[in-house]
Order: sequence, then C-alpha cells, then structure tokens
Amino acid sequence: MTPDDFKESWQTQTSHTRLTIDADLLVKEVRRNQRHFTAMIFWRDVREIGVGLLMVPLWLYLGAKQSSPWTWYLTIPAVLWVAGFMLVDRFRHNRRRPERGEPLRQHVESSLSELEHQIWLLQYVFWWSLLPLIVSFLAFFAQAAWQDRGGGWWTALAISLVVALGLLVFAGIYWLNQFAIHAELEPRRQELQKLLSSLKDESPDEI
Amino acid sequence: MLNENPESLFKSWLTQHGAAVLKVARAYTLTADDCQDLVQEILLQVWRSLPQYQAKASASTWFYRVALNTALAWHRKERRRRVRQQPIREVENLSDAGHDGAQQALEREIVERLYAAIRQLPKTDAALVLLYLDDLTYREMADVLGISETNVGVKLNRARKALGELMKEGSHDP
Repeated sequence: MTPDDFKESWQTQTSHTRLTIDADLLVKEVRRNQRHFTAMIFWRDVREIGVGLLMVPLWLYLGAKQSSPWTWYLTIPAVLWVAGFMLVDRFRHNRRRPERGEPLRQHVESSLSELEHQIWLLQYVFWWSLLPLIVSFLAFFAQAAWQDRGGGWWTALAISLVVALGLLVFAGIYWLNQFAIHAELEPRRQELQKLLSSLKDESPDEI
Repeated sequence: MLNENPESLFKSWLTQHGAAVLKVARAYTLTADDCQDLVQEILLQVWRSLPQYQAKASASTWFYRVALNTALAWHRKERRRRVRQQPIREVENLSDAGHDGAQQALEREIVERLYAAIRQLPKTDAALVLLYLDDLTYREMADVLGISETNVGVKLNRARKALGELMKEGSHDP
C-alpha cells in the first residue's frame, strides 16, 4: 500500500466515526479549569511577591520593638528590590507570552525564548535575589558581633553559628534553583531546540 | 477579536473540529486515559485562546495550531485537569451501506496501525503526516506549522517515506 492508500483508508474510516460531545458539560469543565488556573496564578503571585511585601511592615514592627540597629532595616530595601524585580519581570514577560493559536514554528520559538528567560532568572538568582538578602543579613550580624565584641567566645560562637545556618539556607535555595534548571528546564530546552531544528528550512538534497 | 458569543462559538467549532482534536491527541499519546487528558487540555487551551483569534487563519487551521502546540508541549506528568465525567465520551462507528463489515474492520485496522506508526515518527513529521492524512493542502499545512510550502513538500516527502517503511514493518508483525 502507498501513503495515498493509507490516506484513503484514514478518511473513509474517520468519516464513519463521530464524537459524542456533551458541550454543556465540556464548557462547564473548561470554565472550572480556567478558574482553577487563574486562582493558581493569583496565589503564586501572592506567595512570591505579596509575602515579600508583607515582610516590610513586619520588619519595621520587629525592628522598632527590639530597638534594632540600623543594619536591621537593610533587609527592607533588599526585599523591596527582589519583589520589584519579580514584578517588573513578570509584567514584561506576560506581554510576550507564547499564544497557542500561533503557527507551530513561531510558538516553539516563543516558548524557547520564554524558557531561556526562566533559565536565565534561575541561573542568576544569586545576583538579583540572594545577594541583596545575604548582604543585609551579614551586615546585621557583623554589627551585632561588633556591638557584642566584649561578650567573649560564647557570643562569638553563637553569632557564627547563626550566620553559618543562614548561609546554609541561602546555599540550599541556590542549589534548589540550579537543580530545577538541570532536572526540568534544560531537558525541555533541548526538546524545544530539537523541535525547532526539525522545522528549519531543508533543501530536497538533504533528504 | 470575535463578535460572536465565545460560548456558542466554542460549541459550534467543537462540533466541526472536535474530531481533529481527538486525532491529534491519539497521535501523541499511548493510552486512552492520556488521550482523554490531552483532549481536555487542548480544549482548555482553545477556550483560553479564543479571545486572541483574529480570523487571519481559518478556524480549521487555528484549531490544528492550538491542538498541535498543546500536544507538543504536553507531558504525561501534567495530568492535573482530569475531570470526573468525560465530556467527550465515545467515537462511534456509523453504519455505511457502501461498506461491508470486513472492509470496515480492515480499514479500522489500518487506521490503528497508522496511529502506531505516527507515534514512532519524530514529532514534527507526525504533525505533518496527520495534516496530510486529513487532506490539508500544502498552503494550509504551511499555515499550521509556520514554514514555507516548499519546506512542507520536502519534509512531507521524507515523512511519507518513513510512514511507508513503518507500515511495512507493522504489516510483518504477527
């Protein structure tokens, strides 16, 4: 049989079939899924940006209550920077989100560009997110150590332990981000690159 | 943008192009459950993308685009939107006076083998073969895939050869 014979069988067979669609139920389910998706995006934004912004009044309150030194308040610009960076990035990124109704090649190109941006964000998470927080964290403990310099070895040890623990948490966050790149994003990037290269122009001689 | 009520348009397009969605889903999944999940994912994306439809492409071309873009991005682990009831229930065989039972059974078997062969093709070739089997013109295929008509011809030629080989191998299996 030739491909044209297969085509004939395909069309004959598919013309004998019809779908039983409960359109009302489908619309209901699609709407439910849409609501679920919107809620998921909303709560993701609340989690990632809202929590950061809520930390500001909390930080001010705690700082005032404990009469903390000025370095305590360095965390506020650091948190605002991170939240602002994410907000601006999300705003710019949303404007060029791939659309499903695009031709395949265009869709793969925009998906790849979106994915590469996500990889970039995670690759440089240290610079735009962790570093400002680490600097404010270290500045506070350096000042605390300086003020308590007469406290002896035990105070120095306690502060060192807290700093080490904090740095370990930051290192863990960094590692998780890099792991996500290697485990999820990089394979997807390779898949999209392969797909894109399979759509590139070919001359008949290349067959 | 559309002037028509999105819900009625969605329902009317579903009747016209629902079969294409099912074919794409079958070609890119291995099990009936995965197929049902992918169909629902595609229809969800159709619903979501409907406000962006600008009639630059025909509804049929646009449906294929959404279906293929979704199928190629779909992963089995994304099975999160399964509904409890199945809105698309069955594909029914309609009786045809012109075809006897044996002929229909043979054609059904060929179609099953075609799906099996399509699943073994590279993803882009699978898409091209599906469009070819559904009798789209080179122009329409080029619109769906975003490549030139010449390129469609070159790639389709290769994909058809690969399909022929796979069908030959399949016919030798017990």
